[in-house]
Amino acid sequence: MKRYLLFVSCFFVVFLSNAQNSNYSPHFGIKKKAELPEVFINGTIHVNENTIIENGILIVKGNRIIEMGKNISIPKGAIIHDLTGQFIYPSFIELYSDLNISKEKSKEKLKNPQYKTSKKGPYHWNEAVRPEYNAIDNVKLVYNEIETFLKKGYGMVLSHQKNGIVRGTGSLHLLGKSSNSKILLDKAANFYSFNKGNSNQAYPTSLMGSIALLRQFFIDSKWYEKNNLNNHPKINLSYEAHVSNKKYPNIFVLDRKLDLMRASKVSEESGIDFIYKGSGKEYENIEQIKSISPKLIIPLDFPKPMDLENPYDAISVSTSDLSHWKYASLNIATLEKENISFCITSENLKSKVFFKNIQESLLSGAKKEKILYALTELPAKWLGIDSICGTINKGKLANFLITDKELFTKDFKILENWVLGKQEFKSITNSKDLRGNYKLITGNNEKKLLISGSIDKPKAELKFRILKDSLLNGRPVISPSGDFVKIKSEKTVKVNFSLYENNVTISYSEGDNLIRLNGKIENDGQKWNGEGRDKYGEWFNWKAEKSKVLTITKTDTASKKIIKKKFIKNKHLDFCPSEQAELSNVLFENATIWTADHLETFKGKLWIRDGKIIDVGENIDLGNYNNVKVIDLEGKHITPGIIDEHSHIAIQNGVNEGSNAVTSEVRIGDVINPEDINIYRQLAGGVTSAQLLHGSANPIGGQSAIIKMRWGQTAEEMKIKTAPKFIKFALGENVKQSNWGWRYSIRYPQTRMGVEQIYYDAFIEAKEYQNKIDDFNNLPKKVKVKKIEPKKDLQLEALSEIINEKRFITCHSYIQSEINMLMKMADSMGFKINTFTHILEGYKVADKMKAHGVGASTFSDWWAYKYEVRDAIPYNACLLSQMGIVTAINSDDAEMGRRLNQEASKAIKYGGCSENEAIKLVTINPAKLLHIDDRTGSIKKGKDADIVIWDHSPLSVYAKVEQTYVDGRLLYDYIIQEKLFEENQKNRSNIISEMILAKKNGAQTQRIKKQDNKLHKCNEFEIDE
Amino acid sequence: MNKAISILFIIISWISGIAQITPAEIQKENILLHGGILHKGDGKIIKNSAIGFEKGLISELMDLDQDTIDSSKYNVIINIAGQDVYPGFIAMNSTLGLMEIGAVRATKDYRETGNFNPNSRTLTAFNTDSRITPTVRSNGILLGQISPRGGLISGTSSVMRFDAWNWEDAVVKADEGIHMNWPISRINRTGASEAEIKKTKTKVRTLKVEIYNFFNRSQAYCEGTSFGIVDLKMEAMKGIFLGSKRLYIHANEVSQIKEIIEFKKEFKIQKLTLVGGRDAHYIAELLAENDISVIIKRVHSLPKYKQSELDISYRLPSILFKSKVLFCFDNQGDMEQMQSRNIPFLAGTAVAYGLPYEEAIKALTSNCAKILGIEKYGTIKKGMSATLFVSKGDALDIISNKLSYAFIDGKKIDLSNEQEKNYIKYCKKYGIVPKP
Repeated sequence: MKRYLLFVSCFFVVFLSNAQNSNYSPHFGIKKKAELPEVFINGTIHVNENTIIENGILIVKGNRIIEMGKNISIPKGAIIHDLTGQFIYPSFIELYSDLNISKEKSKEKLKNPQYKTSKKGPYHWNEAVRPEYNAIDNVKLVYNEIETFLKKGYGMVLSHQKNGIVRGTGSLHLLGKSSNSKILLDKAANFYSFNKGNSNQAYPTSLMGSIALLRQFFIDSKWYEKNNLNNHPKINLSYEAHVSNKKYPNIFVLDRKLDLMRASKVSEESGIDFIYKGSGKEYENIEQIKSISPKLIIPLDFPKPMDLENPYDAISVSTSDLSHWKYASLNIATLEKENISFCITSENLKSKVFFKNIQESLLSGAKKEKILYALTELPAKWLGIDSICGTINKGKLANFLITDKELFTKDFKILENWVLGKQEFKSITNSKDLRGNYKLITGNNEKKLLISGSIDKPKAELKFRILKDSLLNGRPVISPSGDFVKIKSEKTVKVNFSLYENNVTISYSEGDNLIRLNGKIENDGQKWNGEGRDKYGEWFNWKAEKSKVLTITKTDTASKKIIKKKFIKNKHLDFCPSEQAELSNVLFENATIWTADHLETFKGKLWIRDGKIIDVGENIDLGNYNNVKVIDLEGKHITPGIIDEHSHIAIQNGVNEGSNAVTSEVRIGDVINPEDINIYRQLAGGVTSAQLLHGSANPIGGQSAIIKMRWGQTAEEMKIKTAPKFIKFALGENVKQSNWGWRYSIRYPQTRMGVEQIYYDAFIEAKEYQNKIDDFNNLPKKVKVKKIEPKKDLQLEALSEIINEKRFITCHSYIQSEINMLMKMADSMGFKINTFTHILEGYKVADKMKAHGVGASTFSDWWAYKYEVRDAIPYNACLLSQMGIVTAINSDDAEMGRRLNQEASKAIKYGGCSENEAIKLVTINPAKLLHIDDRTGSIKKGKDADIVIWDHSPLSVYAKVEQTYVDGRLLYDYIIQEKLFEENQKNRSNIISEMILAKKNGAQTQRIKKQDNKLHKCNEFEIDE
Repeated sequence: MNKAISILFIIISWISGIAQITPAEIQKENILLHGGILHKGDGKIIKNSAIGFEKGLISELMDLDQDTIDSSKYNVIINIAGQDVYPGFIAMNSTLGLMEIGAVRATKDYRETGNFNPNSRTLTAFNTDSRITPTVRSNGILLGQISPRGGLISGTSSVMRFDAWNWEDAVVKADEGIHMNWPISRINRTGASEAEIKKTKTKVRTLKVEIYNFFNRSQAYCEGTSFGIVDLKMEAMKGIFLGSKRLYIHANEVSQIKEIIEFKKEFKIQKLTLVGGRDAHYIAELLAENDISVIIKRVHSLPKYKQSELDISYRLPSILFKSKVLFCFDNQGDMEQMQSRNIPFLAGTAVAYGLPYEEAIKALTSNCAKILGIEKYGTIKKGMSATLFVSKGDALDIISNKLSYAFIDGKKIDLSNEQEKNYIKYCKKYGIVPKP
C-alpha cells in the first residue's frame, strides 16, 4: 500500500509541510505544478461555534489557511471563489469509527473451549487484551465509506479496530479521495471496551469478568512500568506498548447505559482519565452521570418507530424501548443543561439521518453552537490538536465546509468539503429547485410538463389534451350530423427525465410516436429550450416555460417549534415511581406481629420512624410525637422483610464467569442492574434484602453483592454498605461440567477429586501471596524503597481475605462427601466455611456441619433434577434447624423468590417445624448467615424498618403482601401498584399512538423489538437459529 | 381408631425400610369414612359426611347432618371427623414416570425425535416404579395425564393411576389424546439480521403448512376404508376426527391461539384443549365461545413481560373462571416431575387471587375428568370410583396438606416415600423424633 505520513506521532507540536514536497514516492508524469492560493470571498465564516464573520475572506495556500478575516488584501494570481449567500464552517472530526481499518472478522467456533491464548509470543495472557495492536498497521481504504464521511462534513476520522477489551491505538485520518491515505497522527488514542470481541479464549464470559480483566491489566501495567522497564530483563510486548502509549488520550467504548458508571469506577481505581463513548441514553440517569462529570462521545442513532398497529404485537415491546423512541432526541439538550462535555459520533449513520437527528435534537432544546463545538473544536482539543484544526483560523489546516444555508437548518446542504486545502467533496446534485408546472411547446403543440419529487431527484409527468370519442353505455355517441362526437380529455403520460448539470433530456410517447427532447436550462431555471426528434426522424425545436411554483404540501420540520418534551425520571421503567418514597412515621396497631425474635408472635403495636423500628410491643409510648400516623391492622400480619440468601436477579450480562476454575476476582457488585423488574416483583413478595450470587460454574466463583430492594435507586445505593464481603464457591456436577455437553470435557477439574485439589492449590498460593505482601510491608522504610513491591493480584487478594476471615464463603453444595471435604480443607487452612447453600444432603452430615459451625441455606423441596440431588429430602431444612444449625430457605429463582413465605411453610409440612421456626427460615436466619442481623431480619427495636404487611398468616398459601417497607420507606403497596400499572399502560399507549402517527406521516419503521426475558422459560415450539 | 391405624402404618413403613413402595391390594373390605368435610369435586361440599365404598366404587354417600347411616355393613369404619376429603387430584399434561433425573439423558422418555409423532404413546413408557411418583401422591395427586413433549405433534397421552405394578395395571384411559405444539417465531431478539428473521418466518409458515397438510391427510385417511396397509401415524390420528380423542395444542401467545381457533373450525375438531394459554386472558370470551378448554400454564410463573401485572399468572385461573372457560392446572416447566407434588398449591395460590375455593377443587378434579373423558373419576358420588384422599386440613394450603388416607379405586395406598424413609433414617442417627 502506498502511504505517506504527513506527520507522525508528535503529540503537541504538529507541523505540516507542503504535501507535495514531502512526497516520498517517485513522480509519474510532469512534476511541476504551481501552487496557487485559493481565495473565498463574500461568504459568512463561522470561525468557531461563537465567532461569525460576515462577508469574510478566507485564503488558503497549500494545506493551510494563510489568512482569514474581513479586510484582507487578496493576492494576485489567486483562484477566487465567490461564496455570496454561502457559509464556511470548520469541518467535523469523528472520534469513534473504524474507517480505513481492515476489519477483523469473527473466528470459527472451536471443538473444545480454548482456555489459553492462541497468540504466540510475549504478549498478554488474554487474547482480548492487545494494547500492542495499532490500527495504523492495518490501513485499508474503502472509498465509498470515505465519501460517506466527506458528505457528512467530516475532515478527520479517528479510527480504531473495534475488537477486544484493550484495543490498542487508533490513528487519525485525514479524508481524501486520492489513493494516498493521509494520516495526521499514527497513534492518536488508546481504546478500551467491556466487549471481548472475536477472542475465542474462554475468559471472560461475563461483563464482570471483562471488568476484572481490565482492572487487573491496569494494575499489572503500572507495576510493569515501575519495575519491569528498568529492573527486569523480561519483556512483555503488551505491557511495553501500553506503557509507551500512556501519553495518548484513552477512549472507553461502552454500549450499555449502565456501563458508564462501571467504567468510571475502573477509571477511579486505575487513575486513568477516560473519554467514554456513551449509549445515547444518558438522559435516563443524568443525575448519576452528573456526579462523575465525564467526557462523552454521544451517538445520535435514534430508534425508528416500530410497527405497532396490531395491539397484540405491542404487548411484547418493552416500555424502555418505547420510551427511548420518544425521548432519545432529548439526550443532547440534557447533557448541555448539566454542563457535561460531549462530542458527537455519527458512526453508522447516513448523512440524511445524521442531520435529521441533529435537527430533532435542536427541536428538543439543544443549541446548534454546542453541536458545532462537539463536532469540531472539542474533539480537536481532546486529541490535543486544537492548535492546528477544529476552527477556521490563520495557520490552521485548511479543513472546512461550504454550505448553502446555515449549518443544521432545514434543507441545508453541504456544497463543498475541503480537506488540507483541497476540495475533496462537491455536491453534484442539482441544487436548483426545478419543481413546478411548465408550458412545454413542441412545434405547434402545447403540453403541460409537471416536475415534482425532491430537489435532488426531480420526477416529470406530461399532461396533454387529446380528442376522444364520447361514449355512452360503451357505445360511441353519434351527432345528428352523423359524426362521432369528440370530447377533449386530459391524458397523463410518464416521462423519462434526466438531468446533468444544465443539460436536460426528456422522452415520452405521444400516441404511437416516441418523442425525444434535449436542451438546456437557463440559469434562473425558468426557461428551457432545445431540439427534439420524433419517431420518424423529424427534427424540431422545443421550449418550456415555468408557469407557477409548486406548493409543497409535505409537513415542514423547520416550521416545527421547539417541542417541550420532558423526560420524567424512571419513566422508562415499569412500576417505578419518579420520586423516592418518604420515610414513614407510622404506628401499626392490632396487628399480629411475627417478630422472628425473642418476642415470637403476638398481637400488638409497631412504631417505625426515620427508617428504623422505634418500638414494638403490646403497648407503645409515643412520648411527645403527635404527628405519628396510626394505622389499624386488625386481622393483618406483620413480619420482618424476607431475606433471600441465594438470588440471581438484577445481574447484568452474565451471572457466571464460567471460564476458569478460579475466578475470585470477579464481582457481582460491579454488574448490578437496578432496573431489573424482578426487584419490584420481589418487593411484591415481601422480600427486602438478598444476596446476589455468582453462579456455580467454577469451584471458586465470584464475589457477591448484598442488597436491599431499594427500587428506583442506583446500583450503588442498593448495596448494604455495612454488609460484610462474600464469595461464591461451588461443588459437584456444575463445577466438573458434568451437564455442559461434550465440548466441555477438558477443563480441570472433571471429578470431585480434582475439585479438592483446586482448593488446596488456590489457598496455598493465596497464603504465599499474603506472606510476600506481609514481608514487604514489614520491611523498614529505607529497605522498602529499594525492593520491588509485590504485584497486587485481585484473585489472590480475595482468597487471602477468606483466610483472614474478612470474606465469607457461600458454597453451592449437594453431596455429603464434598461438603465434608470442603470443611476439612478449610479447617486445614485455618478458616471456616460460612454457609453451605442448597446443601441438599446436609441432613446426612448435620453433626459435622454443627461441629464446623457452618450455616445452611437450602431449597424447601427441590430434588431429582440431577443425579447429585437424588437423595435430597424436603425434611432437610427442618432437620438441620433441629440440629442447631442456622438454617435458611432460599430461592435461586426469581419466581420462587416472591413466594419464599410459602417455601418456609414447607418446613412445617415436612418435618413439623413450628411456625415461629418456619418464619425465621426466611428472615432472621438468612440475616444471620449474611451477617446483617444487626440491622435487619427481625422486628426489634433499633433495627431497620424492613417490614411486610400481609392479609393472612404469612405461612398460608392464601397470604398476599399488602405493603412492603424498606428502611421505613413504603416501596410496595398493593393499591399503589395497581395505579402504577394503570399509569404505565396509559404512558405506553400514548407512545404507541405517537408511533403509529409517525408511521402514517411517512417515518421509516423498524421491526418489532420483543423484550427478552432470559429468566422466563418457554415451552412453545421454538425456532431459533 | 384413626390414630391406631396411623401408628400401625408408621411401624409398617419403618419395618419395610427403604424398599420400593408396594402397590396396594384390591379392596376386599367395605370401608366407611365417617364425619369428614367432603369436597365433592363438583363445586358442592358436605360438612359432615359419610362415604362408603365397596369393590372400588362408592356405594353410599350421606350428609350426616341430615341422615344417619347404618354402619353395620362396613367392616372398616374410619372416623375422620374434622378432616377434609377430596376426590383424587389429577395431574394434567404431566411427564411423571417418563423421567427420573433431569440431567441424566438415559432417564428421559418423553420426547421422540422428528416433528410428527402422533403414534408414540406414553402408555407403554410409563414407569410405575418411579421414585418420584410416591412423593407426589402423598400430597393428594392420585391420577395423571401422562403426556409426551417436543416436535410439532409430540404423541399420544394416557391417563394413569399412581399405584400399580405395571402400566397395564396403571392405565385408566389409554391413548386419550394427542399433543401438539403450535409453531411460533421467537427470533425477534436484538441482533438478529433481517435475513435471519425472514428465514425463520418462512420456516414457521412452512411448519404451519406442514401441519395443515398432515391434518388433511389424516382426515382423508380417516374417511377412507381400506388402504391395504396400516399407516401408524394416520391410525393414531383417526380418533381426533372420530371424536374419540382430544387434541391438546400447546401455545401461549394470542396470535397462536387465534390461529388455533381457525384451525379448529377448519378441521371441525370436536375436542380441543389449549395447553399453556399464558395470554388467554386477552381473549377468554373467544375461548369460551369456541368451546376450548385450557390447561393453564404453571400458576407459579413470572409474568412474561416487564410491564405485565405482577400477579397475572396467579390471577389467570380466576379470570378464565369468570369468563366461563373450562380450565385446570398445568405444571409443565422446570423440574416438572418433582414439582408435581406442588400442584395443589398452584390451586391454593389461584384461590388467594380470586378463584372460589370449590372451583379450585373442581379444576384439580372434575374439570380434568371432563376434559380427559374419565367419567368414573373426578367427583365423589355414588357409583363413582373410590379414588379419594383424606387430609388433616385444607389440602390446598401447604401447612395443612397432610394426608391421613388415600384410596385409588378403593385400594388404600401407602403414603410413605423414599424421602420420608431417608428422613427417618437420619432422625434415628441423630436421636431426633421424626415428624413425617
